[in-house]
Amino acid sequence: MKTLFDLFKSFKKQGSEEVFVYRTEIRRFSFTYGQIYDFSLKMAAFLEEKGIKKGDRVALWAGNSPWWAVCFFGIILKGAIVVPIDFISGKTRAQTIIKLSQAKLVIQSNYKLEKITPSASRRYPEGHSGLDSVIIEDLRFILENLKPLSTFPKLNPKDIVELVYTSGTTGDPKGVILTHKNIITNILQAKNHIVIKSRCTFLSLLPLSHMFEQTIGFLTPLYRGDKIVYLRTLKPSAIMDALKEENISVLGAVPRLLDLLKNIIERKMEAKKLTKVFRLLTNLSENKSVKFKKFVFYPIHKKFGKNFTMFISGGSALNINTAKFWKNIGFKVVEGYGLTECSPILTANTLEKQVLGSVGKAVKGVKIKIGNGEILAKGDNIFSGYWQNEKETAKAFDKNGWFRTGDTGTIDKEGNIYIRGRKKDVIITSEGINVYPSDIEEVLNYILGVKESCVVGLNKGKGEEVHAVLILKPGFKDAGAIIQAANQKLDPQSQITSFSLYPHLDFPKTATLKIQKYKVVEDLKKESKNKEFTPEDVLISLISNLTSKSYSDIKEESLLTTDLGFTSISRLELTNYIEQEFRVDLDDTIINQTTSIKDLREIIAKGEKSKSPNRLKFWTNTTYGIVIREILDKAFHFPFIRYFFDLKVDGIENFKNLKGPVVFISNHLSYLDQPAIMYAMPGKWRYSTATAMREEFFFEENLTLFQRVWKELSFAYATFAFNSFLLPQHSGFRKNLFFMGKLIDHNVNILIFPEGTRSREARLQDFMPGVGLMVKELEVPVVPIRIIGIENIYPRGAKFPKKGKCEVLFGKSIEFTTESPSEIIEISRRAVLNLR
Amino acid sequence: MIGIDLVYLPEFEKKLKNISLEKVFLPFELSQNKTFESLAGIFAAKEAFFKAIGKKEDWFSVWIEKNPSAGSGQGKPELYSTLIKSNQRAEVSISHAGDYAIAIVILFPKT
Repeated sequence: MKTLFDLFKSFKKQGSEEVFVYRTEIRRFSFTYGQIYDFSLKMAAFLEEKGIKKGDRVALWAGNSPWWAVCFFGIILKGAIVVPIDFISGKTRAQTIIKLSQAKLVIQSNYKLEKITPSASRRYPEGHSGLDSVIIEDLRFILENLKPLSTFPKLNPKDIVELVYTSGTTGDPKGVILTHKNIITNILQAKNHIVIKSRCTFLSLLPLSHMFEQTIGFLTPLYRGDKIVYLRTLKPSAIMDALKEENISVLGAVPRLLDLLKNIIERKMEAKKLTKVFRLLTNLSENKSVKFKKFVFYPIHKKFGKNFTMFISGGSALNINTAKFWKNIGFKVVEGYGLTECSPILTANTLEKQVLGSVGKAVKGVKIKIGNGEILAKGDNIFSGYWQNEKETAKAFDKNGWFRTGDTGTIDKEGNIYIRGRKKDVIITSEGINVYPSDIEEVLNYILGVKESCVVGLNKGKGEEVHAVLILKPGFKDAGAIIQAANQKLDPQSQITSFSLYPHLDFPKTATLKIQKYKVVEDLKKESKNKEFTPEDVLISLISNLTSKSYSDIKEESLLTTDLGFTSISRLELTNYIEQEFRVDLDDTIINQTTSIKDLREIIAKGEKSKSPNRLKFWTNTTYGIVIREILDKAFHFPFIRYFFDLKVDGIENFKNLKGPVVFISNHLSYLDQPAIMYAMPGKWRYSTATAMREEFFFEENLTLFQRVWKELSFAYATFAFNSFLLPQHSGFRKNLFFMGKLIDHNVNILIFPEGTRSREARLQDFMPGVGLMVKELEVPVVPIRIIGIENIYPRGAKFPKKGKCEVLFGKSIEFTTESPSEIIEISRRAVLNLR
Repeated sequence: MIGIDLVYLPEFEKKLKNISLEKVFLPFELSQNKTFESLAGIFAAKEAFFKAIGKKEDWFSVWIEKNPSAGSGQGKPELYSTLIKSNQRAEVSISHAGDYAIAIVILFPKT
């Protein structure tokens, strides 16, 4: 394997093997190696159409998804250069990078509010006609009609694959040039250093625009033939669901993510009042075997699924206490070290052996030495320079061609490397002593009450001074005591001499969640000008931030809308912040006109999601549920239908080549429609179909007690005997959409009567608009059904059915692409009408 | 019943840029509306709708379609919702000027 083109060719052989899973909140989409192979060839054809030539730059500004992969390989096949941009970056940074790289095309996303407007202007030097743009979500429709590219430019290992702009803890972006040789070398190094035997499933949460995720969580797994799971939204609940449902084996994580997961576990323990027991158990199992730990902490391991093997940590230094936490509860955290400039891995621990506090040994082919305290490296994975930036390139290498990492560290006798910190972060005190901020941060972050800390050197004339900036956890106020506690643990030379509380909820961070210290220092300078900030409570400071009201105006009884003036937009912002800050998912409706600060506190404490009960149950679609239905059908429903119905079925041949899951759409004449249709369907389809029912039919307001009991009972019967679930007509639709997505993902078809109510006079009424939306967002075909004559067997208002003739007609399935929900309704309605 | 909502575009842009858009907009709305001005209009229409029905439900239960083919004129927005009773229909109008987007929603009894 010499170039990524060779890697790409291997996809074809893997054909039907699953490579990507993409979990949007609504659906779970699966892609095979063969599909990615085909799409990438079509993507290359699309780029050709757009006039992209070998060596042209194409900016890729989108979140992780299988389509990111299609773009990446499409660009490479065309010999063009990928310029990945972090999806969380704002428009300004994206524009800067596009300008610096003179990209001809930008691939952007619908899921970003800010977009770059394409231009035909001559903003660029000669030879560039301007900037073109395409939306990544539109590609699936665009590529569908294209012929795969068949002739490719010849690729050389020295050709450039991508320009990766360093996310910059210091500011100015520099474009790291990485060639096929650099990247291929590192893929092989990674694969041979951390050896995993079987086929793995990776959960990819870190941005693919960053080399750590690209090599560890994308290219190496693709080379190994593994499977990768992407999530569209990175909410805690989505992450936990993926871990549970996808049998994840490896998760690439930055230390901050490991901290977040640790916090989630600790919070859960706190909520169950198990903190003390948990502490005790962790201490108890410290030196025990992994097997023992897995047994003791089974409930935690269960949440990560049965295949979970390890976290791979990189991006920045792992706090030793976080590392210990995971080790003590029986999880493997394999820490590595590298830089974008090195594609990125230089050193790593292995699956067999992890040295606590060390980033492991150099990978094969990388030479490491320490010069002047700084880590220097050589190897084929190391870049040759920055894009059009000779000055910075010259600074990056010493006179013998060693790459200066800018990090300081040491090597022990066995070759394990220990990182001390960034060279330029080192604080040189007035006594001329080198102080490493990361050492101090590690001590601070472990003190109770500290959420996060950032230590910087402040120069007030007499050399630098060790200054700590703190963000405290809710309920903690005494920063002075925290600093005192830290100083007791620190060397006399590296004492913290001054401190401040950070006036925001989070430090400014890069895409890989490193603190951007230069921005913190800027903020400190600004802050010292207008000093009045003393946040007491996270929630209060949050609300004060969002509404620009002063603390004294915010009382526990204050109502969010009337007293504090929350607008619809700031309310949205509030729920968003609360979700991030307190790691709970909130329903849209949870904050309303009568919510006070006090209520909000309760909602957060309970981790409450929504107020309404959840009546959506999935179990009826399991084997257990199906067996119950088969028995009831044979014993009861079928004899009943045979007795009353003289049934004729038409269009059964349409099931022959039908590929599920689908949405069946039928007219509605009688309560017996559903059993009659089910009876008419082939058995295989009958038992893999769920029926949507109106929620209001069962759960109207103002019912008498007797009516309520009767309705509850009939609902329970409908649930397990007819596999029905509820569609709301007077309340939110989101959770139902998600539930239907889950059904479809499990190959369960949905039968729906879109008229909502049984029609009088057997005329087809208007369809409920939700049906169009549901078909649109579930991305499934529709099969029209028409039922005739049943209104004479069991008409509206009748007490008992009578014998009669009835017909069920099945139509051909209809596929949709770019139609809007109302167009889908129109087409489906016509299809039902046209049956007969 | 009637509802109105006014959106100040700079605030909308500044605040929604850090919020995951699927909280408010359906995937198909995001693909039909690529500019933030147009999304701000939809946001206003959804808010106005909640005011018209007198309660706040989730953002996925109301949506705006701009169908060139949908009868009245080129791409006139149409409001749909799972919350409208079968004997009712909704009309929406959205307008933009300078830094503002505004939307009005009226619910009529169906004739």
